[in-house]
Amino acid sequence: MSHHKRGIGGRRSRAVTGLLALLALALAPGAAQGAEVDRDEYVERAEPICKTNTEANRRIFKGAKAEVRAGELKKASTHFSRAAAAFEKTIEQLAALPRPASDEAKLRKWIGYLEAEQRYIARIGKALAQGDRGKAQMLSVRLNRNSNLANNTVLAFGFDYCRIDSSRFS
Amino acid sequence: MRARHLIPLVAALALCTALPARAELSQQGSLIVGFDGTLSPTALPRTDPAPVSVRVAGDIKDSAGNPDSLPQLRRISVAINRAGRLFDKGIPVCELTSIQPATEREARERCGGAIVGDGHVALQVRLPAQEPFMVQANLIAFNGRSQGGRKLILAQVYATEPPGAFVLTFTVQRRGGLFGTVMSTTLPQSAHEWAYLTHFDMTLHRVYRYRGERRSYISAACAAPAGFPGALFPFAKATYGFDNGQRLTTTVVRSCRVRGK
Repeated sequence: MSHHKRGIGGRRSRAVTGLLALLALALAPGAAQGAEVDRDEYVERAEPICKTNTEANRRIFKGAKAEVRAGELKKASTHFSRAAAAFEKTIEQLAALPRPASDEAKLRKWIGYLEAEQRYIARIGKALAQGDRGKAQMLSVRLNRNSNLANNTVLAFGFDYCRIDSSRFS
Repeated sequence: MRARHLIPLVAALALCTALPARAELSQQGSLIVGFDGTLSPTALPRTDPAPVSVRVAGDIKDSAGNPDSLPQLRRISVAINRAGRLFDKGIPVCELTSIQPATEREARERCGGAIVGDGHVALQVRLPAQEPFMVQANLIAFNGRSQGGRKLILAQVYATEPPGAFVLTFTVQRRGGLFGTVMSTTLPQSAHEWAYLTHFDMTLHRVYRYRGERRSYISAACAAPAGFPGALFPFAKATYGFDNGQRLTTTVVRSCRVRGK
């Protein structure tokens, strides 16, 4: 009995310690959001993340255009779902990067556009899966407009891989 | 600058409806270039090309808003999507000597039948021992004589205040790949000493009759996949080359709607 109690108490204690450690990490100056970085350092850290996503997407979208043209919309939709999932992870990684204090607002806005981008991709996938061509088209227009807004927000960063350039894959 | 991208929208490009024109921007250091493109009308047949007008426009600026520090734009290359086709049979040809030297009015009188478009140019004039000043000029595009199998577009840039002119000779090439028609020009040597372009726009459009048939200098179809009422497509790509070696590329994505079935 006492052993069981100790056991529970021990797990609880470890859990509390773990939670505190997480909180300490989140609140500690110098953690993800607080570290002092300049714009060049931010770009240097963000570009490999975007590069990984770019390369993954090259694989993910292989054959998608042909499928759309062939009317195999359900099949084509899976490319979008996979891309949306991969992009969600990319955004998480980008959001976790320490940001230059002077660019905080700009980067927050950019991440917001990227999140909207991810939602549009997922919704296009759903629309294609449902065979709703009109909706897929409408969403792709919004997606393109959102891409431009995202790019213009971080224009001064001189991004390469983190710049959205959909024409590269057409 | 390499053109990579974060989210491939390959299939999205095969979709869509009307998209408002918006200049796409690119930046390198403090140099910012914008590129805009418009296709009109946007409602087109799915397969048979129909007459269209194509407008391309570019802006060059410094991030601090100071035109005095802009490098000189020496080369412009505008590549149009392969869906757009140029046809110039039956259009008179204008010789360079007819429009240079010439005023805008003289050029129109001598080569009016060869006009295939028009536009505007804004440039900063930098002359020794003078403060730089801005000049607005009109641009008229004439169908030029082919050279080495390549079509030419002679774009006369003429300003009235102060009076001055030069001709931009665009070479039109057909190429394979996504952007099938490439129009390139270099700033003439005579303008190197003083002309710093900050804006240009050119609209190409000419509908005429040839052997009894209605023809258009530029035609395009809206190649949307079957069942889709429109398409989103990379419309044009501009590459700007500057005297300091900087080179920037910008692509614009636009949309069309299918007219009829």
